[in-house]
Amino acid sequence: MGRLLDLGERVELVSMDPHFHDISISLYRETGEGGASGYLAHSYSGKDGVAERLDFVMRAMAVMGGMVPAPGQPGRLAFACGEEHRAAVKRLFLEACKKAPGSKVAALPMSIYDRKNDFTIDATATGSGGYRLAVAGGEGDDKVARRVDGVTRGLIKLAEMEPGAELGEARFACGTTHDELVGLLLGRALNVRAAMREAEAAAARGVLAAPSAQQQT
Amino acid sequence: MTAVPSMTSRERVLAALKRKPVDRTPVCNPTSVATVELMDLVDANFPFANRDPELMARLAATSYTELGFDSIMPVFSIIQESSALGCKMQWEQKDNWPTVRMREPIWEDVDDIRIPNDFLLHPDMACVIEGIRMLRREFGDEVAIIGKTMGPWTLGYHCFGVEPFLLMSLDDPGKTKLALDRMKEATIVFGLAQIEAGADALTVPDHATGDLVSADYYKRFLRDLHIEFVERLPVPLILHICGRTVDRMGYIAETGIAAFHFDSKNAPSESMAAMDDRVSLVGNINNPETLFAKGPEDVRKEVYANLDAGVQGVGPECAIPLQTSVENLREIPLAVRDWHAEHGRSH
Repeated sequence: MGRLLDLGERVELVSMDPHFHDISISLYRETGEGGASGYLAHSYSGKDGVAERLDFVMRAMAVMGGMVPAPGQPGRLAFACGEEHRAAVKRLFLEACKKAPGSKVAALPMSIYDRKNDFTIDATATGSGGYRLAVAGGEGDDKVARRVDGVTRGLIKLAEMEPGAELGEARFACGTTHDELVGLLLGRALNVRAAMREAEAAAARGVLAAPSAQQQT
Repeated sequence: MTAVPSMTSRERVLAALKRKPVDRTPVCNPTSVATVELMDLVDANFPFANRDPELMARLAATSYTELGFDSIMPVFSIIQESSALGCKMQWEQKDNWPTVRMREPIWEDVDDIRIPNDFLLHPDMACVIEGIRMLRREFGDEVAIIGKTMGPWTLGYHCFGVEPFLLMSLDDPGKTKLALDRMKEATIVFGLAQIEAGADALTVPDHATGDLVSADYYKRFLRDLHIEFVERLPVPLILHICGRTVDRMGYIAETGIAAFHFDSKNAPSESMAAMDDRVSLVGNINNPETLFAKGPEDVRKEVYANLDAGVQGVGPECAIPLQTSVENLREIPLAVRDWHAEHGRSH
């Protein structure tokens, strides 16, 4: 009798959890009541303590991403809007798995210090899922405007948001505010290329190439 | 059309390899279907599952017990023989494949080639042989157990390095043929040991891949060797070559090999035409784009395309990425069953 479960669609995988015996942890999505996407962190490992580790990851996702219990899907989490937010939830799951058991988990503030330019970029909710990024006192400065625009575009890519009417503006298509997600992704949006490269490298790992195509280090 | 009586997985695979009637097309994995999730399920992680026979057998069995495939392939990697020959290894960890450090080759000249007398006693060889024995004991005649023995072209890459070996084939074809002839003994000795341990069939990966090796090269250097393998290894052989290979399928069909494990770069229909019912075709479900990155619906489309073309065995095109999702793998046998139910016929 097979031991694999029907958990829905796997949307992300951590192959080796460095904080718990190198087990793999997967994030599964299933559509629940009213079409809401319910997410579940799962591992097939039978090691003692796996349930506690998964519980910690789920609680971390709830705190860091503003997720709530999925209606009609016991044990699963959803965004309050019920939407999938696939790219954002993948990043949220990966960040939650980076947290060691027992470590402090908190939502990140909607501001980020840009070390390269020595200023802080703040995000402000403008309603209906919209956000505006700005640097206090930076109005009229072209360099600031270019940087804010770049970070906004990074955020749009990482969170699959829509561009707003003005430069430095973006919005979630669901029309709901997601402050925790914006706070979480703002740091990655500073260097979106590095984030994409990291994702590509992770995807290439574990693929067996023919000897003639292997990259040797 | 006469309906074929219900078959066991083993009967189904062996019949398909001989292009005989089957009750349904077998789902066959001539290379690996190990994933990190399956490793966790049975507590048999890489790299240990490549080196410990019990872990190897336990992980390999999941293709049959959990995924519903008709075959079990315990030799996940392509490095066991090269390790035994003395190549420098990078064993990696759970989420990556062990590889040979081909930039540190062990042989420079044909006279360096040595197959050690205790070749089969090396732990990485003994692991495979014992793993097959364990699987045969556990599953009897229920499911096809497929072994794997690397062909001499691949061993040449591993032991001489890719560039030096290819340069030798350009500069001195005679010497290259001699090298292949000497290395082929490793292929045969290991294959015979696996047959004796209970393997029903053997995959022979020989990486004369379309990107670096022409069809003419295949004919000149490998066709006759593969004919010899058919003569000396008394089970159905499944040749595996990655990449675009339609241009050499005609030559492959001349070898008498039972099946060709083919890449998704070759369309099922053109491959069937090239083989012209002389060799069974197995595989073809794309790994990096479909099984790894898409969903069950896309997997199903590729399974159906293969079955529509009359391919004799369906499965992944090569060793699947270790991060592949189980729902995509489980979709392959489900789609095969559904296709047969929809078409109301055997194959």
